[in-house]
This record gives sequence, structure tokens and C-alpha cells, in this order.
Amino acid sequence: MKPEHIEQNLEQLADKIGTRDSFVDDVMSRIKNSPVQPGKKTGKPNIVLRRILMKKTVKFTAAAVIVIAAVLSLTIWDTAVPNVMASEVLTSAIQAVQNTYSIHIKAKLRTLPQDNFSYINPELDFVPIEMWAKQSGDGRVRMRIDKPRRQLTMDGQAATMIINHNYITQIETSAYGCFNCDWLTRLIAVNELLENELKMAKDDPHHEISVYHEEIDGQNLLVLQRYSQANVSKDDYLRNKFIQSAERTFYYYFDPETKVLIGMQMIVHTGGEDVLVFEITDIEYNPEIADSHFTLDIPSNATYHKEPEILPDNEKYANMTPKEAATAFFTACAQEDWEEYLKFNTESRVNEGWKRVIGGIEIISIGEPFQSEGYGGWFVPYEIKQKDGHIRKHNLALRNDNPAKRWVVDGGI
Amino acid sequence: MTQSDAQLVQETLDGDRQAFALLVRRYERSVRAVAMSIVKSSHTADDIAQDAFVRAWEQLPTLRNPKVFGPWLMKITRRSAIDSLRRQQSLTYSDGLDQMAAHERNGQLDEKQQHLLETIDRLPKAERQVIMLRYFGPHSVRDVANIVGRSVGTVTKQLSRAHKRLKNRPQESEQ
Repeated sequence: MKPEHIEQNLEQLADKIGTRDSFVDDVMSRIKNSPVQPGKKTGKPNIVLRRILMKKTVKFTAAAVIVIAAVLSLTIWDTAVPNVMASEVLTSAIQAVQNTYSIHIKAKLRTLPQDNFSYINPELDFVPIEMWAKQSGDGRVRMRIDKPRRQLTMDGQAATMIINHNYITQIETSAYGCFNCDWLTRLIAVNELLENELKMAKDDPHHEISVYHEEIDGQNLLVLQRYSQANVSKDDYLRNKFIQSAERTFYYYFDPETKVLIGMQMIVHTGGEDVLVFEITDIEYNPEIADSHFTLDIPSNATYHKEPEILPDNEKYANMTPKEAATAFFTACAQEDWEEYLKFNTESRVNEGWKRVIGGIEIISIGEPFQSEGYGGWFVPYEIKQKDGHIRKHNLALRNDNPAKRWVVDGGI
Repeated sequence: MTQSDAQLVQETLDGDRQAFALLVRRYERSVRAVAMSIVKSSHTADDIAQDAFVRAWEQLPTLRNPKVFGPWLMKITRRSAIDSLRRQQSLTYSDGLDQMAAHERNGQLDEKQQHLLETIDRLPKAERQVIMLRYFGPHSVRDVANIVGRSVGTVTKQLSRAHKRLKNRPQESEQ
């Protein structure tokens, strides 16, 4: 670069960095949905733990309070507020929402914007999640869950998800827990959520559930707290990466008079810190929601997800070890053999943009596969060099629990 | 006359979202630039830029001196970008799709441009701010002066010093 042209170079650099037409709209849309609105009061119930735990500087104080509370629960709450009370509270709470025919929930989760619905990471920022459900005139329950780069609808017959605006996954299913969103749909079905809590309150041998009143900014709230262990060991790869694999405590907030559920939080215990990872910031019961809200607009140029079919030479792929499958997958990328690439993927076609990223790579290393207690597939460590020189070092997630029994890439790239 | 950052910050705090939209428009490219100087990928930089503005919105009441909105925003962006680099070690399920979208939308910077960007990022704070506003806004010198609340003369001197530093920076091969 010739130094005398610095102004021109700066202008060219600015052009290259560019701007995006919808950028301001995208930011303003996220801001609109942000639970934090500077300059004006939201009028939402003000939950003290939310305020405390949002500030890292006082997290340890909050953690200490929780630990003390947990210790106290063993000695005082079991007698002063026994789980009989938890059962009574939950029974009343279930009655309070029994006439719910539609619901709109706003929440936030520490996760990646571009991930599905279940990944968590206490170190990440919050991502907004919005959920709707209604009992339609035809008797079917329709649900919709939105988060950045994901829109999902389910109606008891099919589930449709749009990823990054143009990658479509559609399956015929009567289930409401597709694409790792089952824990969210349990929240939407608030009646079932509370019934499930009631079931646990009725059998709580380890005293993991407590009920107490909390004075929060002058507002008296009824709080139900439940501790839950992680389903994987402390040194597991998936520890604290998903709800079930995290050691966590749930807090449900009820109106003490009506017993209506008005808020919920989940705190993950990471060993040194207690971090607020999920929070329901607003629940609206029985809002009017148009049926059309549960139908997604699918772009005409969309790429579709498809289940692996049984190939003429299916056995060759079904007999591979995870390491062999990873090697074959990356070799297909290196040789830009897209027909072969698709045998390890669930996409209907390979996007041209992605071909430029992953095509012609150089395989630096492929390591020994390993498993996690919380995942049915395998992880294969790898290191590759892209054409643009970028080194990608990660764990390729592979699974073969499909009808063709072939290994398909499930993540990690 | 172009409104200063301090005025727009105050209007935002008074509840005017459009004032914040003007700040987003004003700083979009600068925020992108800071992000790209760290993460190299234009698509990831887009995410970081959005996150930085949302964080700035949420933390705006904590900004004690609205005049320093620009440098404060860059600091948030830098922190977000560094966090993002750290996150790349985390398990993700659709980076591929994201990169695919990125390559369809934007080209990457060449080495010389990346180097220039990194050098801008190392300029003294005041000079970096005026360079970014002047070229990445882009704004006239008078508008830059209004935005940062300094005189035209001061801004001109700061731009001149920044140009000199950028011209005299070590070339890529020397690093």
C-alpha cells in the first residue's frame, strides 16, 4: 500500500466494510424486544434475583445468599414451609391457569443466536426468545417459538423451522418438542408445567423444593424454588451446555393472591458462580393471536432438510467408524465432491456460498472420537485449513440414529 | 446541523428510540470495522455489531458522560468481539450455515485492508474516533466536529495526525 494514498485507501476500506440495508431495522427490532428499556419504566414485575444476578459484581453475594438459603431450607423451611405447602401452592396455581386458551411469553436465554433452542452457555449474553400458543377452533394447539435466526411452528401435525431465513426443516409429527425445543414447549403449556412441578413437590425426599414469600420492591411475591442436578458428570464435555446437563435451580414467581404464575428464572451453578441463564420476563394470558401467526413465510429459494435415505451402497457408509466418517466427510470437502458431501449431511443441496467456505480445505488432523453422557452421537476432534487460510479446530458432532444408519454431521462445523 | 452524540444519547434516554436509530446508522460501519479488526469474518462482525448496539442500548443509563458515546460503544464492541473469539471454542450447530450466508453477502478484507484496519484500531482514542467518523460515517469534518463536540480546528489536527500515523505505519511484511 503506497503511503501517499492513505485517504483513498481509507475510503476503499470503508466501502469494503460496507453497511447492510436492514441493519438498523434489525438492531431496532432487537431493542424493541429487549427486556431492558432505558429511559422508561416497563411496568413488569420487578424480580429481585434478576436485578441482583445481572450484575456480576454482586453475583458472589447472591450466590452466598442462595447457599445460606439452601442450608436454611434443610433446617427451617421443611418445618415452617413444608413441601405440603409447595403442593398446595401448585394446586392453586394450576387452577388459576386452567382457563388459559392462549399464551404469549417473552423470555431470554444465555445462548448463541444461531443455535437451536436448547444450547446454553453461562458466559454468553442473553438472546431474546418469544413464544406463542393457542387452542385453535379446530381443537389443535398451535405453537410458535422465535429467536434470532430461528422460527419454529408446531401444530400437532407438522413442525416447520426456518434457520437463517432460508434453510427449512419440515417434519410430520404430532409432537411439540422438535428441534430441541421440548423444554420451551413445556413452559408454554403452563398447565402441564405446573402439574409436573406438583408431581415433584409430592415426592421430594431430598428437600429440593422450597416455597417462601419474598418482598420485592414493595411487592410481595410467592416464590417456589427447585434445585435440580445435572444429568452428566462434572468433567463431561456437555456439562452446562444444555439445560439437562447443568446443575441448576428454578425459581417460579406467583402472585400471592391469585396464584397466577408471573415469572420464572433458571440459575446455573457453574462451580464458582451462580449465573442467571434463563428468565421469563413477561407472560400474557389469553391474548388474541391470529391463526396466521402460526404459519411461517417460506422463501422461494429455500434449502430443505431431508432425512438420510438408504443408498445403493449404504452398507459402506453404515459400517464406518465415527473417525472414518469424519475423514470421508472432510475428504469430500477437500476434493469438492459435493455428491459425496451430501451423503454425510441432511441438506437437499449444497449452497454455493458454503462451497466456497468448505471446498478445497486441507485436512491438518483428525483426532480420536469421544462421547458425552448427554449425547447419542460421537464427537470427532479435527483441524482443517480453509482455502482462505482460516484454521478451523473443533469437534465434529456425528450421529447415525437415522433409518439409513449412516453418519450425518450434526454440528461442530 | 448534525446532532451531537450527547444530544442523541439524551433524547434516547428521554424515550426517543429514533434518536438511538440515528446513532446506530452513524456508527454502523465503525462498529463493524472494530469487530472485523478482531474477528476477521464479515458475517461474525455483523453479529457482533448488532450485539454491541443492543448492549449499548441496555447499558445507556450507565454512560456517565454522553459525549464519549463513540469511544464507549467501541469499547463494548471490542469486548463483544473478544468474547466472540472465545466462543468459537464452544459447541455450535450451525456455523456452517452462518458462514454460508456470510459469503453470499459480503467479501472479506484483503490482507492490506485488514492490516490498515488493525492499525486504525491502535490509534490514540481521539484520533481513532475522528478517523472512523470521517471515513466510515462518512461525515464532513464539520459534522465530525459537531458529533464529537470539538472545534473544526481540533478535528482537522487530529485527522492530520492520524493520517500521518497511518502513512508511517509498519508495512505488513515488517510485522
